[in-house]
Amino acid sequence: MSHPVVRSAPSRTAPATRVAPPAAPPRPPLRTPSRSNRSRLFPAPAVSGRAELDAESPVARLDLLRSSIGTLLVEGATEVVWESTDLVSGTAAVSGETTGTVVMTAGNRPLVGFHGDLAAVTLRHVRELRRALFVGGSGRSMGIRLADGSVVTASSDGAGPTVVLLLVIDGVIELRVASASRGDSSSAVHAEFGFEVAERFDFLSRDT
Amino acid sequence: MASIVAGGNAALTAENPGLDEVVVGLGWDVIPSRGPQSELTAMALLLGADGKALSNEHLVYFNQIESADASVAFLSDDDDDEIDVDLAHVPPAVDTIMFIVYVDPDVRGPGSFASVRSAHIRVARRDGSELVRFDLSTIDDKAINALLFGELYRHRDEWKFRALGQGYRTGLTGVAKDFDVSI
Repeated sequence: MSHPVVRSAPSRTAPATRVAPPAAPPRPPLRTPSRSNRSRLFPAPAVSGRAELDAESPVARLDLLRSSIGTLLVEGATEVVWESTDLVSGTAAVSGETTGTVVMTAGNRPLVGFHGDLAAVTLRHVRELRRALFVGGSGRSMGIRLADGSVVTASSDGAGPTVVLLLVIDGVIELRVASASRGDSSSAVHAEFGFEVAERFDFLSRDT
Repeated sequence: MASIVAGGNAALTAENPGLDEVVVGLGWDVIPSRGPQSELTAMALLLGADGKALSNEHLVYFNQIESADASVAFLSDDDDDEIDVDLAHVPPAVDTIMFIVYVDPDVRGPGSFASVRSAHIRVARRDGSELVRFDLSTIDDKAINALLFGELYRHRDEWKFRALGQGYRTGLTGVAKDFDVSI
């Protein structure tokens, strides 16, 4: 007499000694990607190789690296006015004359100034700069040189001095060419673009 | 604290179970000068298995203080630059995090590492306790203007640190070329 074969189901319970401890829940990330101001900028042409700014295409934007490496040089500027993020302002002329306050960086270089006959911006400290205005001659173009060799030519067809406005937005440089309508004095050009240079207040030499 | 020499490595996570975040500090002293002096800049590059940067979004320095996924972040730009690495959330595509320091190529006397002393890189826990440190030798070569200080890299499922100390005479441009960063 045969007996039916009874197959028992394999045990689903592992021996207690072989039970793995429950895995700890993964730790959440320390940070979530922050939304940069850059993501909210309106589109603007990027600078690559040789570019031109004029009345038809007045704006260009540098990328993060080009905005922060080496020196931005401007050829053809006769004067530059700046305003730092601390609202320190001043001007420098190609003749060597300065007004207001020169912002010195940790590397002992002016944040904005002249290097020979070229206006220069120290890009290692770009985040200390809020804006700058390069003033050229009437109807004359300016050349903007970047550390990677890129050159941006800025020209205007207005009657007044050609100007290049440099804005720093979240570490990114934006360049805009324009023509000043009031070229009768430096301060008038500055005022037209919203710059007002504060006189230096020297506590030590002031009469009491 | 363990001090290692160029080429040496340290098994960070294997020897420190539970370690899932490190702070990498890079420091140096520049010989003071009355005139323009070297401006050193620390940068972390997130590299794939091919040794190339995944993109320009995958580098971290003073002007881009977080990687695209925020796992690597710049903490400070003071005397010692500090970069925080959330090891547990570094994307799988990142095989190596390279820590470099370059001399900013300012046209007004950029300088070189010849004027730099006491350069070092250290890996520490969040609370500041040091895991490993590498003190770089003084460099006499006045042409050296960028240096690979060290790297965090994956080894199987663990993270290790290697001290490098490899110099460049071609500055950031040479570094960018080697690691496929577009500048």
